[in-house]
Amino acid sequence: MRVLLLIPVLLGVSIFIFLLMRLIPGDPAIIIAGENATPEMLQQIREEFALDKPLAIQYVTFMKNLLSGKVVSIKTRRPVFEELFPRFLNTIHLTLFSMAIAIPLGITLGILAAAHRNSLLDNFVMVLALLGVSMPVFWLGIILILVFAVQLGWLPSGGKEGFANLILPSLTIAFALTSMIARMARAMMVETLSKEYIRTAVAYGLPRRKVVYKYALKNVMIPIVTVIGLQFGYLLGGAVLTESVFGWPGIGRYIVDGIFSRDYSVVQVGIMFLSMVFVLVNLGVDVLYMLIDPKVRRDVSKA
Amino acid sequence: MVGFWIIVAFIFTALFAPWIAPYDPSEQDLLASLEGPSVAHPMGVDFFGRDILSRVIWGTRVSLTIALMAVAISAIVGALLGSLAGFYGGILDEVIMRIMDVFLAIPSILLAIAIVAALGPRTSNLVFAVSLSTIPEFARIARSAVLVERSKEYIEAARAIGESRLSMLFRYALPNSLIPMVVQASLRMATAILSVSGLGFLGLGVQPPTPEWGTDLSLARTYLEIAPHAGIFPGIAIFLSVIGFNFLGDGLNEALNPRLKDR
Repeated sequence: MRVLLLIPVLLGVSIFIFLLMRLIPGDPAIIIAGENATPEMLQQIREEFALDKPLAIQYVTFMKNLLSGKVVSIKTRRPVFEELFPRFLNTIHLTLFSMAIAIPLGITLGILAAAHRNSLLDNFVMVLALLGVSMPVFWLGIILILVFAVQLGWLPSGGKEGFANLILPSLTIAFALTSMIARMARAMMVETLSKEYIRTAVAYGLPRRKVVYKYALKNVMIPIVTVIGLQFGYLLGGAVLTESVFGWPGIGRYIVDGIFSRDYSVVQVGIMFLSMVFVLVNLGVDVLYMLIDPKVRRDVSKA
Repeated sequence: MVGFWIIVAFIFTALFAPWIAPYDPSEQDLLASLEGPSVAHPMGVDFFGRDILSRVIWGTRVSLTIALMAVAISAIVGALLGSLAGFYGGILDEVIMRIMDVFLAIPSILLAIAIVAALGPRTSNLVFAVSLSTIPEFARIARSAVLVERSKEYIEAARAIGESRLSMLFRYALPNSLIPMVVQASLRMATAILSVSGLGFLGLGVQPPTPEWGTDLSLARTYLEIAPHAGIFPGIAIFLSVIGFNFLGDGLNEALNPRLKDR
């Protein structure tokens, strides 16, 4: 059922991106083939993409070409998918590494803050988390480069040669992500702790520690994990800026480079690809949520 | 409260930029290129010999204006779409919310990048690019607020005395969704500022020589090793204004949302 609902969304995304690219002023054949294309090439592109046909047919043709992997980069003349995929893996690499830092740290801080609500620790964590979500990632990246690459010379400021190159960009993303997770984890834990069954448990004289870290924690983990899953797609998009700062050869930077070299096939395919991944990840999280949480499963089968 | 005063300070700076800024933000003194902070130039000088303090002050006006226009447009459009969807339900609801899903499906910074790349980095396009990705959020909030209100007794009562559906929507249901909308608007101002400066940093935002924090930051990156000050101060401006709006949004949320109050 959920999978079927996705189809109109994905269709909508592809139509929107397609129309947007058609809004670029100029002859679409030149836009697809590049400024230096010969008249024969232009003619070939016109036929291949059905540019002399109505818009609807153009769209269908473009999608056909896209799905069969025939769309080529203007600059390199290689199929966009072939170039895009390794870069996508680089982005995943960066994202997963950041998540490995941020998830345990963010959950721990958020839960601790909620358990000791209004304490010094709580205030400290919350202020730090607010700074984290307010910090522009590109600026944090610049500051980290200034301190650790320029001043101290400990770490490289960019590139992708080895593990050392991964540290600064990951920390940049992880700071924002940890803050986001800590804020959400705290909010959910605070809400759970105010529920009847928790207060009843405390009133019955169960040790508060046990109530918080055993009963409440168990109930709050599922929604936290769900929200984190939903952040994953957002992270893939957000990596654009971090990748630009550190020269990390990921998919975000690939798309931005495509914009500057007016390589619109790259832009179009790249954005469609990331949107699809985003939608599929969100679906995956929803399905997982249903599998884990019996309450949701029951609601769904009822509906 | 801290957030409120930070925002007041930024709005004041934006409004009175011509009187506060010590120099013309595009006046070049090439002999002073990349000079560090001094009494004459408290934040130093950029590559083209322009006073960074003055550029940060004028940049406040540029960033806040674009962010404010984007959030205002998306709040209004989102509120209208969402409340229509919630109030009338049925096919209209389905169609509107599925279209919203499409825009939620594209990561917001990429959506903005795509729009600016296709239409060009004019200010109006920037506003459009930033607002488009925010409309669905507002639509969702308005929709759920209207759905809750619709089922309440006073709406039934209004209907019983023969008030039209549209007038009920605008007189009762919509005003009641105002609180979550205001909280959201404040938080969205923060994201909008981040988006505008992020686009600027990528070279897709406000174009030079207009002073804008993100755009100036991306110029400063080239000379980071010789002149770190040029990269630090515009960043602080972005950071502070975003903190301000986030603080304000959190504060409003806690003050206005009874669920979060201490019990």
